[in-house]
Amino acid sequence: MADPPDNDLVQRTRQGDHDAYGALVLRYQTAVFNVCLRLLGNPRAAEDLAQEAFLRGFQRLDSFDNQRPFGPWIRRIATNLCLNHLKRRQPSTMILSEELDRPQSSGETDPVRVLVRSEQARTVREAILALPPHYRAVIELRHFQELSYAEIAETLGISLGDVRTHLYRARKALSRRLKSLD
Amino acid sequence: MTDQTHPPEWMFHAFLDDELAAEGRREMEDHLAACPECAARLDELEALFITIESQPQTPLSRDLAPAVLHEIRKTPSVSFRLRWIAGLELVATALLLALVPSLLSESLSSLTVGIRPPLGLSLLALQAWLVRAGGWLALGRGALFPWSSTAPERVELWLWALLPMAALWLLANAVLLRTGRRDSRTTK
Repeated sequence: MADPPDNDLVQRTRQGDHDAYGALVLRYQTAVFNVCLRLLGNPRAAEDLAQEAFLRGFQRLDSFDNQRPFGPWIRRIATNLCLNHLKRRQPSTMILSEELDRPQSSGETDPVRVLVRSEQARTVREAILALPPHYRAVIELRHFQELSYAEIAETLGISLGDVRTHLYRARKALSRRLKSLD
Repeated sequence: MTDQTHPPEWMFHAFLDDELAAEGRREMEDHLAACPECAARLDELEALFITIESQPQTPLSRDLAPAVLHEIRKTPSVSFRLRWIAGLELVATALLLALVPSLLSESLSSLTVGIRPPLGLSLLALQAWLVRAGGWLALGRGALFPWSSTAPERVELWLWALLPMAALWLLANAVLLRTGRRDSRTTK
């Protein structure tokens, strides 16, 4: 039996079926966790905020437009939560354990290639986390959530000009850092 | 743009982000076709984008659904109907708060007749304060209700207006309490 579509699960949640919301959590929890992890760098904090994002999403479900996709909406809630978290406190110490560097199965079997991929991923992750929070945010929203410049501006409450500037500077900083680590 | 004048850096970014208007996009494409240097710069930028976006997903160490559902079930949700009732109750409460002090002041004014100071003065001061408080709550600072200095029959009229509001307020409370008890039973 095919999985029910998201808008079906949202509708059932609104009618009081909490298990339907549980299905939505299962469907999007990895993506939301990775949004938080890319912004915060700390897996424990990322799990906590990912959980909080789903709770906020449940509270705001009445205002969600069920004609639109659920995934981008919940990811945006997670992004805003993480940005508020970063504003309130110093970013917590990055914990780049071996555990984090183990990607989901990509079908790659050659151990050398797996190791190289893993190292590359770690390098890029460190480079993104080394960016200031507002540069990290635009990179996350543009490259991982595929928002347009206008949508990024609206999400972050900044001008279009600032979005372009931040993206340009963030990418330049990333490029410089990745080249220096080569 | 010509071969000799290269586009500004931001245009390369906007081109790859698909954020250029149609005309700008066309100009960029024409220039890239004629300028190997800019074409190479674009390729380098595109390679950076691919590197950034090729980040694999990190798996979660635990399933979040049980904890999320546990929190949701702890807090009973407030239905749309209840929110409306709560809203009506707020309105009724605000009106009661605005009207009652002024009406009380009318009652006090009859009590002050024949009572000597200092008690008489205190009651008059309280009456004045009540009128002002009632007017301020409803209409803003300094406002006075029309019945502040009117005949008792007007006061009676306003009392009749108060009774349904008080009844509405009590009924809304009863519905809220009953529904709240029922909701907390179903969420357990």
